[in-house]
Amino acid sequence: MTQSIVIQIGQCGNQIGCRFWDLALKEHAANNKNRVYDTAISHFFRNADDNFAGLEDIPVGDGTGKIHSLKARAVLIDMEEGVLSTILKGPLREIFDHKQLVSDVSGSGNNWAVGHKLYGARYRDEILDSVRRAAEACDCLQCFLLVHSMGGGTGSGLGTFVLRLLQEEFPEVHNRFVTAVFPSAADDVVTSPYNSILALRQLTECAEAVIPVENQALQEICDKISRATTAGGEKNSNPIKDGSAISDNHHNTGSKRSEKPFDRMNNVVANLLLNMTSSARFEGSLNIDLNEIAMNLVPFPRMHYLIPGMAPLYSLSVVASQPRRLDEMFNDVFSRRHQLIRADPKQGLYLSCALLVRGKVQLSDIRRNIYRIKPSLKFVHWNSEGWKTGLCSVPPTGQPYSLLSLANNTCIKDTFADLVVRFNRLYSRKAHLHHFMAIDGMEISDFEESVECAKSFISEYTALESQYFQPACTSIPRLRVAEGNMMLS
Amino acid sequence: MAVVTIQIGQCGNQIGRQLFSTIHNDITAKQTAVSSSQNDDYTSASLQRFFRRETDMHMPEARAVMVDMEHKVVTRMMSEANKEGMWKYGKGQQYFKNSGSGNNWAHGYLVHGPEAQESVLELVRREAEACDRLGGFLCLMSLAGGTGSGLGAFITGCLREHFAHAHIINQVVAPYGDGEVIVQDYNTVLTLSRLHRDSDAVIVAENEELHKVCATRLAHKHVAFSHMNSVLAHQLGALLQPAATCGRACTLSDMLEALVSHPDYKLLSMMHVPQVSNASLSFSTSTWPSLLTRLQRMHEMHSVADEGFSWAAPSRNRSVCNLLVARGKDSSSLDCLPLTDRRSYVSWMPASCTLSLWSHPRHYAGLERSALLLSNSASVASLLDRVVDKAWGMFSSRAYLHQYARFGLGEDDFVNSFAVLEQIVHNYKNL
Repeated sequence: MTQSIVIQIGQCGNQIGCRFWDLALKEHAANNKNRVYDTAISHFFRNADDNFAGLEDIPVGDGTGKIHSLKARAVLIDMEEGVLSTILKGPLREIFDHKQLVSDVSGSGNNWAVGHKLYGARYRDEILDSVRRAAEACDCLQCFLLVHSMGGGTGSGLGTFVLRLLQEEFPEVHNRFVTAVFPSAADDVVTSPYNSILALRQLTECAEAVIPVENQALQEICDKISRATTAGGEKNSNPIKDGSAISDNHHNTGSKRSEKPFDRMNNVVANLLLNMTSSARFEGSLNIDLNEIAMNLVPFPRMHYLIPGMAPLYSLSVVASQPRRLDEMFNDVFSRRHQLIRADPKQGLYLSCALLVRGKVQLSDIRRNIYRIKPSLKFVHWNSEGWKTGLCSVPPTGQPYSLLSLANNTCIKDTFADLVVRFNRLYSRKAHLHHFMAIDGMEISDFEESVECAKSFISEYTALESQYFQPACTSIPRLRVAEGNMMLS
Repeated sequence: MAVVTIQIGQCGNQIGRQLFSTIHNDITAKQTAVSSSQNDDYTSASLQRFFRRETDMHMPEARAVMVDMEHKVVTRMMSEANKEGMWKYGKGQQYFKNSGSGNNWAHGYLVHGPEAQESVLELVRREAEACDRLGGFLCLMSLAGGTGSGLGAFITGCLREHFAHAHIINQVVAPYGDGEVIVQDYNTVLTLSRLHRDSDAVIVAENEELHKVCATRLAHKHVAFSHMNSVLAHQLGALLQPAATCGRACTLSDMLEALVSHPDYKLLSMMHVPQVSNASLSFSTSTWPSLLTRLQRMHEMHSVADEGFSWAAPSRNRSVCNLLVARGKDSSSLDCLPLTDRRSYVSWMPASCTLSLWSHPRHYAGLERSALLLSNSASVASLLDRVVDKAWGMFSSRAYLHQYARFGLGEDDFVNSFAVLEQIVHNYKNL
């Protein structure tokens, strides 16, 4: 019976966060017909008793108590009013406690320094207070899930400040998972390369695992889904089942759904979070806890970037025969089109890979598919069987099964290299630097060190890749027994 | 004689539940082909061994302690037992926490271990005191995970310290070779190095072998863990149910005397014949010679499944000593000639000690004749060699070490554990 706290920072973080809470409620509602407050729900929600003035929490007990009032275990941080006030006026306002919100008026102006140095110092205590309050409401806090963007000011600046704060103040909770949204090349924020590189260094140093997501890849995925729904005549009449979590909104106004631009993309990321935590919340024959994910996928402390791939991306309600679709799902999750960043893991070297399966899938199906796909993937030589599988019996809403892959793969270095190139384009001209340097506490060395960190990181990954082609020279021969005593040869 | 079972981790608890169900089903079986007084002797001895109950009116309670770092599995096992309605787990004989071990051996051994020590020992003491004569402890655990392997190794050490003269037998389950947990090889090396020091005997079962039995002989289309657990429980039941040798009842000390005569050789493997699915049970019969020949071949080819090996290839196995448990008609007057070939045993073992025979005329689990071979032989070395190889490959690249270091396990500890395992592999390979 563990709990996790979700911390959403900035506009992007809060929008994704809201989609996540919406979908999570739907999922639990579909699986919890009796409205009892059981351990599954208690992972992300508190059961607050409105009758008592102090809003005391009702514990899970034996898992059969009724739900009174669910409150999300979340901390919402934004330095602008717009997003938070929309949330507080929307249908989700009931699950958030006003004490969990930290906000300001003026925003960060797409400036990492403002977010990290200025607002960090100003709101440190308030943020720490909110997090502590959420942590005290937990029996056994297992993990912090942070969600923010890398390109903006609040998300990247204040978000990474919070990450550092958590590392200092809650050292025993080492599971700090960050879902970071990387900006695409066509991003409209000019300073996004600066913000991303400055934030990247913080992520590399302080996070336990980072799940990078790229706007570009999400856009392509959403386009693919909408093409699949609008294309074709009778064959594709309604491939997306109503209520399917992939591209459904809570504004089900019936006639025309008024969709905001990033809604669909946020939905995909919210699904990612749901699938990742499904095993910790629901039953399964092979459970994976969040700390197992970190333990198995992160062989070296700094190489903790786990590339997410998801399948299926639309419902299987027009399925012909099941097994073929199941195998296709496994194929898809390793293909370039289904990764949530623009990278091709098949080109890179796998350090480790986790497959989280949801739904009615047999263990033998998973193993069969792993055998089938393994030859086409390159694994580092000392981890040639580096698979971690998890099986959760509860499928996502509207789908019979789904698969999430988290791959620790060297192809992430291309994403970073890209960022470094964009960074240098600006930095070599010293463009926009004065906005950052005007902030107290910001030094030019911050920039230098951050880009150095990114470059050394890229070379670490490259070194690993070269290892693939020459495994022999890096391995030490085994210990040898020599008549009575051990001898290292 | 009573046996206290300690089930640790998800795997250990699932197997334990199966084991008690199998034993209880065996106790209450109808077709036993022995006189009713013999049957009564058997059933009361078996009940006494694994269960305790206040009076005949009460439901028997398993002599078990359940330990896990999360509550899901333990609660499910208890409710499954209650649903069966034939026996149950004692109230309060469970220890569980909430946080899990995250597949991290160091977390289980160095953090959860000391935390859990007092409570678990208290529960074990309670069970041990409820026994008239404590025969020994049976610890069920896996090698791949964090709780079963780490906490299991720690608890075994505690048992050794606090029950210095008790017999401790560990049943460990080795994971599939191609990975259930990425750091499974590290966890296996670290666990076995501790168990070799603290335990009296370690019975090693492999998921891959059990899978083969289920897929081939028992013809399960989709092999699930529950099938594999039931095969293992079946084998353990065949081993631990009452039996006699040379006219007197067998105990755990007899087992250890027969099998673990040298402290360097403690790893055992189990093979059971016949392997028939429930559907074909009523159609199968077998004779002792055929069972024994098959068993011998399986042993030589080190295959737990009674299928898929060549009959003509030369033997690849050398044994220190073996134990044969035969159940069924005429089992006491067995001709064990095929299994006593002097050449397949080490030269320093006297001929009279190479093979021990236990028997009981009662049918086991509906099988007219069945035989179990518990063997102390070189077959276990190939598994260990593979595991040490892969673990060393990871270790020389310094992979995942920071995860273990976080809980206090340094590189020296790793090197020491590797040294112990290399010694074990060397010993077995040079049999």
